[in-house]
Amino acid sequence: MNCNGFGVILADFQGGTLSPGERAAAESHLRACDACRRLLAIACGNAGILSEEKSRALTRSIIERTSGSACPRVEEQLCSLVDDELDHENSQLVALHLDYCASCKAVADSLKIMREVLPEMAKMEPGRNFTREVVGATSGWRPFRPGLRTRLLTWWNRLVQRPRFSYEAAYVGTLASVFVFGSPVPPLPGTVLDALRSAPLVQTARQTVSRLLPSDWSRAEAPVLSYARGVAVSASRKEQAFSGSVYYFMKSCERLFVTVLDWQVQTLKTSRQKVSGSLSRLRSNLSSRMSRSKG
Amino acid sequence: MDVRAGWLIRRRRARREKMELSALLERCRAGNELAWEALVRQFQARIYGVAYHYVGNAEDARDLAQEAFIRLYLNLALCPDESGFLPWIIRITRNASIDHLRRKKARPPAHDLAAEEMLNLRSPGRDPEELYAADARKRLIRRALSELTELNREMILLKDIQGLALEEIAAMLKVPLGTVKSRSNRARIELAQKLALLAGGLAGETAV
Repeated sequence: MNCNGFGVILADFQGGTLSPGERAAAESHLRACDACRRLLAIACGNAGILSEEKSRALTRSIIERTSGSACPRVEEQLCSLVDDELDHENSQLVALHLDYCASCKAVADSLKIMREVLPEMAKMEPGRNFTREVVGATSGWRPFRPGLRTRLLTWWNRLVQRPRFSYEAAYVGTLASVFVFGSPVPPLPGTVLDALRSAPLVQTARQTVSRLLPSDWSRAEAPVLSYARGVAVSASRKEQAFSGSVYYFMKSCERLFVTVLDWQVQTLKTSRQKVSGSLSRLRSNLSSRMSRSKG
Repeated sequence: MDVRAGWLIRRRRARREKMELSALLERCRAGNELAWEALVRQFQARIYGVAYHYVGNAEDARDLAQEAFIRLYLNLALCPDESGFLPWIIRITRNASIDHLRRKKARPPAHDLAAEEMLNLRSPGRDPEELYAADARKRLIRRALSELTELNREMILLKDIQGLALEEIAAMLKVPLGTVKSRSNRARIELAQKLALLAGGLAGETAV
């Protein structure tokens, strides 16, 4: 066997599909030929023809020309990796990337340091006399302990200051008014009574059909159709009543919402004026107390 | 086993602190001056740290921390107990600091100089070399922090330094939870990148 012949059967030699005779010939050629031994080593991936650096450069170049850099995706997942919030498979993939990407590895290391050091920076000593100064500034003042009326008033003010208060008030107000005063479009009587009426109609229709069908269908057809029409009319009336009541509800809600919103804006303006006035008074009191205590 | 033991100790400590806080607040509301002093001592470093972060100036931060405590004293009856207390007092300090900055109509100064002042303030009795070695990483982080945008710096302060939950930060900044989460991650990555760059630069200088 010569080198060309060995090249032709190389794949079969690797796959172990040669006949014993061919295999023996190939092995005897390999023993004699350095070039074919090198070729076999390369084909088996044991040749080490690429250094570590070249191998990395090759990977980088392939990735750049295909999917693009994976660093942005790794950046998205680094925080979760450091916080142990990443699932096992993604952790492995990110860790593999970090083994080969120095810049992402540096960022990951920095994140680990931050996780350790940042919580230690929460406290800073303001100096020895700070506590004495604060206690001195507040001594003689009684903590403000409001009564029930004030607390209720505070709760009400907080409630009113929420932006969605007007929506809620309009909804609850309309609901209450519909329950107390009823609706001009009668949703409940129309709907419920129609439903109650339609139930015996359907029942009777069924009975009639079962009674008449076996003997004479033509006699049964007219009453069944009339009952069906009755049921359809009742359903359409129900639908009209429902949509009418929904429309009425929405319009009432809208009117009430606009009214409450106007009132809320006025209340907020008044309370803002009050707060700014009391804050400026408090500030002037404080500065006079501080200047007296320093003096 | 060690991890579990550490977790148990932290949990026990947190529970004890929580109990102490609610008891302290109750006594403060009853007008007990000793309890008030203990409460001030317990939280002054944290409140001063928050104020300092915003104004970047030791003297202003002291005044603002005092103002925050006076506001707390006046509103003791209304402040929430236990887990809601820290976000509440941090919000008061943040609002006071932002008002202060608006009044001054100035941006906070760079943090480098202030960080030096602060390191000297922290433990004046320690050997300077030992101090330098112990705080080298913090100095580096402060330097990287000073290069972030105000928004990202605030996210790092509230989430990673003060340890507030994302929900608490969302309520404080009045932004959706998802926005807070993405901003927090972005801020962390940006800080980590700056830190890596600074550390690389320092390593290069040392090597040269």
